Amino acid sequence: MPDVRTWGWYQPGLLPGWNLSDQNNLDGALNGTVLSVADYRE
Amino acid sequence: MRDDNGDGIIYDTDSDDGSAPSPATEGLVVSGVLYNAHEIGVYDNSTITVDGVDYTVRLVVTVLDNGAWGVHILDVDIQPGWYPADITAARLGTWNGVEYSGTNTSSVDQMLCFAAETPIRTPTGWRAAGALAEGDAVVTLSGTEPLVWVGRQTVAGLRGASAPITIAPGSLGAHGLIRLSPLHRVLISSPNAALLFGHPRILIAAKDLLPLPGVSQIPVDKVTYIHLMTRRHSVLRSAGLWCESFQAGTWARRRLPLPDQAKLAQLLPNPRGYGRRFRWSRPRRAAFGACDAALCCPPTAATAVVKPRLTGACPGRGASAASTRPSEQTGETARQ
Repeated sequence: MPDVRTWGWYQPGLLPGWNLSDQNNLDGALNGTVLSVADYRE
Repeated sequence: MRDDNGDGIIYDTDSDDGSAPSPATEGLVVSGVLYNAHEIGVYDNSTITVDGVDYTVRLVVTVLDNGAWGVHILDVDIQPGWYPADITAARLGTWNGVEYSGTNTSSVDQMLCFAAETPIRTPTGWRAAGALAEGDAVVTLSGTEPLVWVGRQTVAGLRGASAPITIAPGSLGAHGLIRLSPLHRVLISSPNAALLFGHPRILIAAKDLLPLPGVSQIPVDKVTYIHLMTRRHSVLRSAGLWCESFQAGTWARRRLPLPDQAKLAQLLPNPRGYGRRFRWSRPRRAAFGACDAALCCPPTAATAVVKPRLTGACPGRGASAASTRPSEQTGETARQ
C-alpha cells in the first residue's frame, strides 16, 4: 500500500470552529478561518 | 496521505453521501497510523504566507475520525525547496460548496495533456497549446473542430507520474520537440500494430514510448499541462505528431481539479462512451505497455527525420507516428 505524501501538514487538535459531532460542517462557516501552522507534521 | 489503490483519490467516510466509502485502507497516515477521513472540504482563494509573501492557493482540509485535521495544498505551483515548515500563516478562503463522496487529493499524478508550449495545428497555423482558448478551432484527424473546453494545471514535474515525457524532434518521424504528460497518447502507425491489435494505427501512452531512442522522461521543477477537449474525442496535430485530445471519460475527469470537474459535468453530463469512436485506442489485448510499444516501434540506428507518409511504416523504423495532413484524411476516423 503506497503512501502518497502530499505537501501539507497535520494538526492533532480540533480544527477551530469544527464540531466533531456534526459530520457536515466543514463548509462555508469556516470561510476565513485562520489556521495554526506552528505544530505541523508532514 | 495513503492512497491504497493508487487511483489518486482519498475518500471520506460520510455516511450520507450515498457512495460506498473505501475500506479502511485509505486516509491520512500520522506517525505510521492510518486514520479515516471523517470529512473533507476544499477552500478556494485561501492564503498561505511563505517567507513573508502571501500566496493564493486552494487548501484541502481533511478532518479525521478523531477530530484531528490535516491540510494540503491542491494544484499549486510548489516552489522548489519549499517545505510545509516554511509556511508561517494560513487562512482558509471560500468553501467551494461541495460535500464530497470522494475527492481528488493527488490529481496531479495522472493527467492526460500537452505541455503548454506544445505547438497545436489550427486552421490559421501553429499555436502553443497554452495560448488556445475555448472556441478556438483546431485541426483534427477528421477535420476542424472547436475546443469546447480548455483546462490548465501547473504542477511539480519532479516525479515519475507527473514529469513530462519528452519526444525529441525526428524520433517518430517528421515532427518537432514535444512534451506530453506520461499518460497522454500518441497515434502510431505500424504494420506490427495491425498484427498485435488488429488495427494499423493505435494510440500509445507517451510513457510506453520510453524504450524508443529520442523519447525520455526529464523531471522539471514545474510544468504546465494543458487539456484540450473537443466535442468528441479527437486526434490533434501536435508539433507534427498526432496526439489525442482530452479524453473526457470518467477516469480522466476524476483527475481534474474539482472546479474543472464541475464544469465538465455541465458540458458533458454523461461521460460514458466518450472516446469510444477510436477503436484503436481499445486494443484487443488486455496487457498493453512498453513491451508492446517496443514491438510496434522497434528501435533502430536510423533516427533521421523521415518524410511522413499517409499510412504504413516509416522507412528504417518499422513504425511511425501516423502522419496525415488534413488534406490527406482517409476518412477512417469517421468510420470508427
